[in-house]
Amino acid sequence: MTAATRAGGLVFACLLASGMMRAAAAQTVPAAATAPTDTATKVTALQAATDTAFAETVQADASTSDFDKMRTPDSPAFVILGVSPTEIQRPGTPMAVATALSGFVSGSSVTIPTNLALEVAPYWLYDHPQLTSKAYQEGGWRNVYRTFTLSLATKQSSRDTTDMSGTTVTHSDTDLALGARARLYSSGPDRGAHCVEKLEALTSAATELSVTARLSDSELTDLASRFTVGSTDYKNAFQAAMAKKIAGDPVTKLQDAQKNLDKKCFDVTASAQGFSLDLAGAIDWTFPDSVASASNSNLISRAGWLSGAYASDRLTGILLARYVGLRSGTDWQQVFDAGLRLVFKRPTFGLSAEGIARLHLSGPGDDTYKVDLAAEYEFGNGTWVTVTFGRSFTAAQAGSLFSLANLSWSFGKPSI
Amino acid sequence: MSIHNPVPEFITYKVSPTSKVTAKVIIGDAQLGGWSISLGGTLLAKGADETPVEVATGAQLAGKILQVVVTVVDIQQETNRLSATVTISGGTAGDVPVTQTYDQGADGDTAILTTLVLFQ
Repeated sequence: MTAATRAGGLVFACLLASGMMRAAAAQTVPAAATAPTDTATKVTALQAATDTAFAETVQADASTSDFDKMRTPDSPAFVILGVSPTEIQRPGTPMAVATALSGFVSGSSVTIPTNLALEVAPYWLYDHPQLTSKAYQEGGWRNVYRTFTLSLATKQSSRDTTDMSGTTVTHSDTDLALGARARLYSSGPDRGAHCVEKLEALTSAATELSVTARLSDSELTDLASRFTVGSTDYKNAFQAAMAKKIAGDPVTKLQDAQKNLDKKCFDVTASAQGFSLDLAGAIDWTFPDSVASASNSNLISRAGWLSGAYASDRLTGILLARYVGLRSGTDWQQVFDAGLRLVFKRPTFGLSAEGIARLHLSGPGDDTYKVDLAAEYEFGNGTWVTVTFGRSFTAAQAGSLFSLANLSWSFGKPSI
Repeated sequence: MSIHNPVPEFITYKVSPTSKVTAKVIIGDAQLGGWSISLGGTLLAKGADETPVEVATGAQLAGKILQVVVTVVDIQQETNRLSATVTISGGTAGDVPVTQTYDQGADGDTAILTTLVLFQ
């Protein structure tokens, strides 16, 4: 495992683990010897679980991986909740949003829907017939609101409480998370020759289909002889005649061009060449016994991400800041992370360096940091040797930086 | 990746004999595509950008039909909405935009949006 992969998903996975571990810890809360209907006790039980999760969260970073996941998450609500929904609702109209949110209403009362996973891009709920692809890609500050998305998710978990008589009662609690994300700045999609070629292939195929689909003089004359020009019958007949022409080679070429299209060539929210800056935040409430009321809701965690990235053919870099707060009783345990990763890549070798500083703003735990360096070299036939060394968050002494004890070797495919 | 072919939009557009009529296509909602502009069945121009196309003078256009066929492809993950605006200019009514939107498609679908203009 290289430095790149080892520290890769550090912050993202940390937060992901936060939600997952909180859920796991909340499943069984031992011997809270009170009546199961005591709301205060339920909250205390959840807070105990949260405390445990927080301690585990800040220790989990050393073994996480996948650097790509370190970037600001696309759906912060899912991340803070620790869920990976297989099906996400993405309504495209205001009516569809209303339908998606209808699960919050049951008769005259408010409920919390189960397993909700919703992502809404408010700007795209409405038509933008004057917004060209080029204008979107070069959108500048306007793309802040164009790329703004809201995510909403719920998750159920269970916990057991035992009363004075020894009777165990299982409670079903619900977490509700709300997240927001926006790309504050982007140089735009990749405009390299590779992308230009693919986009031109698509527009060219679409243009040729437009030429193929039009009617000939004789076909127009025939329609005009049978119907009043401009009438409903005329338009329907025009449509039917055109449908017969939409077939064959032009259609195949268009579909092939679509299949070959690369997302990075047009998507301003995808990783791109040049600079990008992303901001996200999320908050998580829990509702003991899934009772949806303001007095029964408890804000138990909050998080924010800010990441700036630069990418070119040779050099990529990511500067990241993350804040995580988990409620513990009446206090908050808060951690701030700041990290930098640089990668220099050439055809036969790669170098990567990254460091993460962790500040415990409140709650238990000491300020610490992590540093990793990695180098890899291809010595022939696609076989690469990778050397990694550094210091983990849990290193006993600051002097252990670059300790040979942390030196590791691996052979295989390049991973930087 | 279905191809949709909705019923064309039809407008009449008044011109004077000296009118210099142009047509312009904008593919909206940040989607990609291409278009063709034909007078009757004769192809005048094709392309993918927003450059206005010279159609003809009013004297040459009276009674004829302009076909503007726009093929719009869904490439955006934010929306499946496909739209195009055809703007006819130079006649007595000035700029007349005709916007068509197709929002019944799925990811990666294509819509062929046709505008028919009868010159009077």
